[in-house]
Amino acid sequence: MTIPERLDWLVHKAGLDILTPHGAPRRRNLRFLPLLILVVLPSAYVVAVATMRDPVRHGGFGIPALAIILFSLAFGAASLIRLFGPRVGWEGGALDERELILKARAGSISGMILAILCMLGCFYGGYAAVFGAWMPATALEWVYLGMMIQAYALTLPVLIASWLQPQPDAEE
Amino acid sequence: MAALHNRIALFRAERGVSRRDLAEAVSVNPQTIGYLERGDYSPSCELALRIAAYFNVPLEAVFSLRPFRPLAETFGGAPGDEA
Repeated sequence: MTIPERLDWLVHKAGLDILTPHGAPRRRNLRFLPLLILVVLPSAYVVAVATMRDPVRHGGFGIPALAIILFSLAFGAASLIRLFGPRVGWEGGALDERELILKARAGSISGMILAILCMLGCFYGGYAAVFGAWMPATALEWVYLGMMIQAYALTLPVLIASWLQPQPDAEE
Repeated sequence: MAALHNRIALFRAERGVSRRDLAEAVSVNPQTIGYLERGDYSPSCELALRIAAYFNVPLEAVFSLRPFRPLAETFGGAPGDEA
């Protein structure tokens, strides 16, 4: 590959060719349901944990109950979302070879993100005791944390695969 | 990684085949044909063979490790030549 060809390849891979008059931007799919699930899960968890420990101070069991319901709904949606995966524009049967590669890539990126988050969580947990920071204390808090990690593992690949797959053009 | 060049769009245009028709014939998503034509995805050996078989041409007529010569250059001579 010559240097100009290599530069062309680099521009194409970086997506910079959409800046040229010939390169129409390919719209990607940012799916809002997985994004919503990923936001609701930790938010509901934080509210539930913060209010469950001292419900009287936070106006009774209403708020923790609402947070747990929200958390459960988000967890349920996360469990089902893979059934409504990122495939667009084709009603065919099994995934083809490119889609299988895309699925594997999304799973790999998602696994890497989860591993980094878990690593940061371990670092935090290690020092939380030293500095007296918050840590899950009850069995329920640990169980919900585990469920949140599981829900992230189910939802992140769908979000990433949707993003990796541009929307079909008119001919597709 | 070196790109795999192809003339799928050319063969499609010549035969009047849509991406969807070709995709159905070789059992892939129509988007995959678009990816192949744009050079964003290199097919497996099996898919490349299926595409070549669909157009009833040798594999090397559709796919190449080197860029294909433009048809105008191949059949029309060098630019500026008179026919």
